[in-house]
Amino acid sequence: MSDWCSSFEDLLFEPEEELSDDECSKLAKHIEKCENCRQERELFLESWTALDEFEPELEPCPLIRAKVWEKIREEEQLPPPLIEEETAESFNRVLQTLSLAGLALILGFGLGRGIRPATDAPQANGQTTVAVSAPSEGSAARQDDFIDPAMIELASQEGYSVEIFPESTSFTPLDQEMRTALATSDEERVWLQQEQGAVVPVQYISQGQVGAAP
Amino acid sequence: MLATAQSKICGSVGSKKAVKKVEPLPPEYADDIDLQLMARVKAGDDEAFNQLMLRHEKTVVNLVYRFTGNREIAGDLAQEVFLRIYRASGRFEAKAKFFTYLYKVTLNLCRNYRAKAQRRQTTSLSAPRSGYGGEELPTRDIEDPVGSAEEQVSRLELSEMVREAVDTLPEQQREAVILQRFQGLAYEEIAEALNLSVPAVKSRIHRAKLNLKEKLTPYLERGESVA
Repeated sequence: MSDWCSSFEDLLFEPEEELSDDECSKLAKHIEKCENCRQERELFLESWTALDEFEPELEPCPLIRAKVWEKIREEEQLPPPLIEEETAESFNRVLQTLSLAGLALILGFGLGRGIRPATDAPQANGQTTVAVSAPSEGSAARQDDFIDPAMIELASQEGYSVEIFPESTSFTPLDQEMRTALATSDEERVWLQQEQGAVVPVQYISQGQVGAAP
Repeated sequence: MLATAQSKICGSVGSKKAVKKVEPLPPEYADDIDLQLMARVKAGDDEAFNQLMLRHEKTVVNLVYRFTGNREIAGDLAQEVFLRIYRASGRFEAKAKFFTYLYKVTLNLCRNYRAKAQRRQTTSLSAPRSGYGGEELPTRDIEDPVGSAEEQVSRLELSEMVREAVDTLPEQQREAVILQRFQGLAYEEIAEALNLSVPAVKSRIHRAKLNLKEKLTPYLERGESVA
């Protein structure tokens, strides 16, 4: 539990330069008589100042531009690709989304069951384990092929622990409509809900496997 | 070294291709120097791209460095950022400020780098440090300290604590706080770069501050008691 006065939270954790004169004097008056808030304010200011130690500013290497030009010239010597990289990626995504939709239909209507992330999961230390897949080391990774950090954060915020399955290679971006369509319970909706688009492994959905790493 | 680099740069720009007519910018962006340069790059003017890199290389290198903590990677990813911008210049449309575009490209590359580094380390047995969600983090360069021996130790320790505190923030909070605290962006600019609302950015930064305070308090309190 926090020890500071919640009505002052917005002011307590702002550096001086972000506060107006009015806010500064309001805060000063408050911390004069509130020891907890005074201590919190001091700790915040110290920690904020300590961030100066994070990384010193770098001067860029003078060769950066030369290297960029070198690569550009190299690329210009190559024959043009049959389809542009972005077009190929978009096409792949559409294909993946379509295959996911097919899987969802089979699972949802054919077998009469949807995905079961939380309910079927084994319990580990009182927490449900969510499977999050990552492409295997040897697979040809796309440039945007990664575990969505938002997904990991969301899962963690919801009290799940996160296992990474290096074996899976399939990722499918989900739009809002797909998330709604896939969720068969509130629990699943919470799991699938993302602020900025989720990435859900197809393997997970098709096999319905969650929990311990294989 | 520098002279060689400069001659290389100039040599590259010297091999020019045909420049097309520069498309006019929308009136709201007509005064934006970066967008003017991008319009020229789109028309095939390589010198404009050189100027654009010169204007932003420091920002990009430092942003990547703060995300990765590795000078070499910062240089490599900065090159990749500019390469992507150059490759996409033919399709570039001035719909927002240039910095928004630049930050988006840079952040995407940083996210991919970190995710790939985490994946690699998931299969590695060495586990020196761990981040949010238990993932291991790429190793960071350590600065050479200055000052007395005691100051050096204390400063190194603080610097390491701060790095760990920032590294182990949830990714979304980390991005927001790096953009605000170290890149000096305003809330509105961060919101544009991260495709978020201003209140969402404020909330992430607020949570990041509380987290950082929590993580650094034991060190700061210990420092006080020692003093």
